[in-house]
Amino acid sequence: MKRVARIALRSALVVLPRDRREWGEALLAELDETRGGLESARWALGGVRVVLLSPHGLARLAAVGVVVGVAGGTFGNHEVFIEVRRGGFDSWLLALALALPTALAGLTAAWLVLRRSRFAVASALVFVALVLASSAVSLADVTPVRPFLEDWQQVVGAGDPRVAHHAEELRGNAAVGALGAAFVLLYAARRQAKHD
Amino acid sequence: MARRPDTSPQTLVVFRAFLGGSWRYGYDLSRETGIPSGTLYPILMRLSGRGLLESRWEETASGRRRRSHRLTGEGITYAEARLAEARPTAATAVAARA
Repeated sequence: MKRVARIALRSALVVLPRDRREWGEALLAELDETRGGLESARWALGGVRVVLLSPHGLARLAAVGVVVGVAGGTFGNHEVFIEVRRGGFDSWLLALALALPTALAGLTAAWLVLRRSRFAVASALVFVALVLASSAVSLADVTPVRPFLEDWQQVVGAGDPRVAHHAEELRGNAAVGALGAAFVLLYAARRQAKHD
Repeated sequence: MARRPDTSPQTLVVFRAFLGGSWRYGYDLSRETGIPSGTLYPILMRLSGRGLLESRWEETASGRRRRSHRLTGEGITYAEARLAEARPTAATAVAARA
């Protein structure tokens, strides 16, 4: 059990930049003093929490989360764009023009947060603003989102209520997920900047 | 009303444990105070960040490295002030309950 606890705590430490690992290493060193499996597990769990919720730990987790979110969104939605394009519609161009700057802003902000750049907070703020704007457009169901989703529904099965429902879900989930990720990144970037 | 900083029961217990002025290990502090690592270390980190706590690496007899901590001079003065402030509050609470 102590071995597993040590692996868990050491793995969590990797999240932190090298010059911010001292407290985590102190926690790890004390793990050897714990008696029994349960106590070592409790010590390590507390340590993992301290490391991951520390200003630099949370900032890095949030940045990685944004990168994973953008990659997941791109992978999950690329077929929709391809299907609309193959269907002979060009509404995908405007939809992409709406989504792409937000995705690029997210990746840039995540990269700057990971680099602990002095522009990290500003870039996270830009990301939040773009996510807010694109979510508003998406949820308002106006151009370019509406024609794009209508074209997609036509391509994959016009009149099928499941497709319409799926399109609705896609819009809502993407907006909520992106807003959550953007605000967490901004909060974490500000907290990290305060401690740098 | 906003609570004064460093007056949580856990922080006061940590202050009390440090008042002897000697270097203390995190695990020993945790055992003595009953405060788990996930609560104890953020307190230590906060105090350290404000220059109230100093830390150093030590090598034990068995060759292992451990990090020990103690309050700085400023930290001791600060801790004593916080503890002194907390005492009347605790006494008032006890009196109110009686």
